[in-house]
Amino acid sequence: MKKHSFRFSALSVRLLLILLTLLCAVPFLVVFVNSSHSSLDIIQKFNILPGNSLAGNYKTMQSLVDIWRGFVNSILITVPYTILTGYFGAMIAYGFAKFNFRFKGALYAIVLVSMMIPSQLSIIGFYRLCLNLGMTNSYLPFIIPGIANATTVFFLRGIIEQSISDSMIEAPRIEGCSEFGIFNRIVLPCIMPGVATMCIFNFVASWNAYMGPLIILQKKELYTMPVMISMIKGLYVTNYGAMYLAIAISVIPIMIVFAFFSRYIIDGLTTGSEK
Amino acid sequence: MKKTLALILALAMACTMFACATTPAAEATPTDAAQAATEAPAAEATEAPVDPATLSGSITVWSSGEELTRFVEGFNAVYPNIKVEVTVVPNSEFLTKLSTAISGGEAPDLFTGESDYVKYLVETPYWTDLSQFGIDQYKDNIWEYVRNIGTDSKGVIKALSWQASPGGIIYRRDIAKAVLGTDDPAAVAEMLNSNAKMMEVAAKMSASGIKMFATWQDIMNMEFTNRASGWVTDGKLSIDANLSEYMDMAKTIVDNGYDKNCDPWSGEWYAAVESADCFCYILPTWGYQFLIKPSAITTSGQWGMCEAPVPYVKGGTWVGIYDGSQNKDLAWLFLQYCTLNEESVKAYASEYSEYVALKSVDEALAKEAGDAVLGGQNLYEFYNGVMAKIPADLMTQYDGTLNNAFLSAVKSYVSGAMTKDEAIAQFKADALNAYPELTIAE
Amino acid sequence: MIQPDAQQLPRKKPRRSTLAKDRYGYLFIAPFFVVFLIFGLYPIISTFQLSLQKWDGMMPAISIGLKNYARILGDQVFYLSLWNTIRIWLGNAIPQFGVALLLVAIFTFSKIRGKNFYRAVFYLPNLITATSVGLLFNLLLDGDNSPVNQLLTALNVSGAPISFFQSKALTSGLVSFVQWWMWFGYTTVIILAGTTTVDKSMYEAAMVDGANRSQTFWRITLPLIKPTLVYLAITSFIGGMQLFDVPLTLSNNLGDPGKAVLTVSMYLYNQGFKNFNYGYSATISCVLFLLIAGMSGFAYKAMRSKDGMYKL
Repeated sequence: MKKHSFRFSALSVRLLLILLTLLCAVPFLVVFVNSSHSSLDIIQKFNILPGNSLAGNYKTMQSLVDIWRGFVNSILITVPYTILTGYFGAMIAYGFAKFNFRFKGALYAIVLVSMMIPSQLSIIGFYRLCLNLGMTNSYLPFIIPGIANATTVFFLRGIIEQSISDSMIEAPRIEGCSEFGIFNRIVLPCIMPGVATMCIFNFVASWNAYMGPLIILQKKELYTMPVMISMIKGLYVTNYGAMYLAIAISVIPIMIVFAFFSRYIIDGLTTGSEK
Repeated sequence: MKKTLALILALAMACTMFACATTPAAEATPTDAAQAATEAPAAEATEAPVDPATLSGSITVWSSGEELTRFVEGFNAVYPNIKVEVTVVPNSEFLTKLSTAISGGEAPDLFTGESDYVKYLVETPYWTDLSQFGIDQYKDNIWEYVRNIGTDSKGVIKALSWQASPGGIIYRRDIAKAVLGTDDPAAVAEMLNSNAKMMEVAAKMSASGIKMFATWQDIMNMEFTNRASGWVTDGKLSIDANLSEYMDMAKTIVDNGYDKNCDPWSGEWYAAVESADCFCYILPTWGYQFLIKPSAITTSGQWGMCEAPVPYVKGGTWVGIYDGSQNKDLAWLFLQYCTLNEESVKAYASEYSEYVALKSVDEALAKEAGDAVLGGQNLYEFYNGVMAKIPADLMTQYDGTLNNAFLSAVKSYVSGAMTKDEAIAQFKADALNAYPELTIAE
Repeated sequence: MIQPDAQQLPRKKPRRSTLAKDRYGYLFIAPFFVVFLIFGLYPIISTFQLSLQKWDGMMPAISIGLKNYARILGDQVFYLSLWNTIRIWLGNAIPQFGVALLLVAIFTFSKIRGKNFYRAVFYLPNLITATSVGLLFNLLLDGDNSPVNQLLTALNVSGAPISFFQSKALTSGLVSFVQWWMWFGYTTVIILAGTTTVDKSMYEAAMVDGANRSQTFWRITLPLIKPTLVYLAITSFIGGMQLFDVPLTLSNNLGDPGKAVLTVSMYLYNQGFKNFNYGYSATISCVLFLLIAGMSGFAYKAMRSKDGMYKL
């Protein structure tokens, strides 16, 4: 019995993959197809083919919110945030992985614990903090915390411990390379696939962040995509078509980012482990 | 210096406007009021000592719905140099954003309060006392219940509304004719004038393959007015006997399949407007404005309004000026424009078919042509009739949470997950969990 | 001959230098703590402070000591929401890891073309905001004439149309399903990234030794990707315990029917922003935080491998 448990029949494997593909793609297609249908069409039937209300939906959407403004705003937050999470995440992870210092265990525990704080209520404290720092109309409260992204540190510490041997660091050290030089020139390139993986996830998380920007930002022209989508959703007059169009527009950039970076994820990790 | 001057000028101007606006409502007949309403702006232009264009500044508004955005253009036609920024914050997160901002000491100049929590906001010091702007002179032209809800327990008026939300039954005329033999509002109302009679008609509809309601949950809008008192009086929670009767009716509806088995605001709830097999919605004014009117395309002209077994009001949004605002004078001008200025309110009402809080405007509009979607019926005339009969204000500051908790309990009962007693016990437990300071009335 | 020398030299001589270099560790990790002190600490302290008060969000707060903590001990709704949260998490984490491992095994052992395509498609659901996902599924499922019910009726499925949101079990199952749908691709991507560190020659060696695929997977692949699995399990648990958007938008803020999908985060949100018991809401936050920290710490210790991977 056990011996054969991993003999996948080619057919069943195919079927499983196709089923999962459909399951993942169909709701996605629904978003894109519905963005070209009128609200009434959307609620009355299950649409498979594109409709002809795209222009109308676009007009409605733009009359409610300036989606391209939101688009630019989201990029202004997400890109620097993502870069910070990647670079500093790797740096902090490297510090924990390859150096021995006092209180390391306790300090690392703080990193892990910072992931565990329920965010729903601490938003009040966060808002007051931003107010005291004069940052309620600034993107800094959403960008700077990228430096302290615990998930990235947690993930990359494992990667570094797995794929960077001590000798890889010792050799340049003897040659007189500075500690930051070693990190920038040897460690970072080696773990780049891991960093890219985390960057994709951080990009998505930041792109989709809703509650923080909604509560903290006071000026409408600073609002990000998810806040704008919720503003369409929050109206009493239903505009499902405009809403789906806005969701579709918000999804496209992350699809592009993912398509572009995803090839870095897998193949590169092996290079790092070649000690 | 400049600010004080602007304030004095604004107040002076506001006073001249009161003079124009209040007289007709207080003393004149509706026809006079309508005339005065159209004359008012002209009078304002000639009598006001200040050109509105000299007033400048900017004000911020947070609104949980889109309505206030509709006033901005007209407002700027009068006051071109006052910049109004209305931010629509989704209703589900409105209080989260508002209370966070207020606790930090920074709130917008004007903010709205939905019926669910308006009573709570009114009792806090964050909405400013409107008597400083001479609100008393407008009082009599505002429907009593709208005014009462915006008034705190000490009698201070703090919030106003552009709308009033009485309700009736919005039904399909073609179906009424086919199944009941008439589509006349008075005759249909007669056939539906008690819960028992509604169930009789529902059975008749069902026999013809038609669902009486979109959802039984809509009926709750009416039942909340059908009570002797609100949820809480003097810290005691009570469940009115009529609500218990409502639970039975909801069960009957679900067990017999008299509704479309969907939730309010769901896709199917909207879609039922255009379906061939849904007879009526029991909804107030906003149901017509946001649901029926925009959705009725092929069924336009096939809708009618008749009185529900109980005249009722449900929902609504109020708006007040933040007490810490640095721009109270300008904020007042906008508040005044949206809620008290007969000309602008009337223009708004006719464009969006919204029933408004100013009696004189509703009375004037009742004389005008009816609505095409309603087959020519005049909704103002209809709602004026309802407003005359509605009972005192039953809203409490606990309504948002308690209404939802009650609905949740009734759902458990009608779906068969709980017995009626269990559902009621569940509701009481939830109420005490949310508000531990309450006690249950015997 | 040179090698042992090189190995011994650094072991003795740079010992001092290594110690000196180790101070750089503080420099490397410093950015985290600087930013955490500015942006992370204040909200935590203010939440804890709030948990000792009675505050309605607007009027001045009153200090009430540990009363809120006494209340939470006897709060049945809190326990129910905790159970809901754990149940929903288990309901999606187990199939999520199961499917992800199965896919990893398929991609490792079967010669399937288009691996990168599948990996990308399975990650798609993670790209849409949780609130939009909840709303999308609600539109697809709610009502007798919903698209899914139309489909089921057309296929003559018995029991159709199904009132998905009137049954506790179905609603809870749907939340787990949506969570699974959103995250199984992510889990697969991360595990796949982990398996690529496994040297291909190790498989070949094992096969030569007569191990079959199943044995190779259990004895070679799994132990080597254990750090990845520990990472995923812990982050999934932490995320799962804070579940908020999906049940809220799929059902409503009460977690209907009958609180079937009321999670702890939803409950504390309601107590604060809907019922104006901010102090009590903060108490629930603190207790949830302690539970997550305690349980993750325990899991971390239990799962951490003996060879020192991820040591604290």
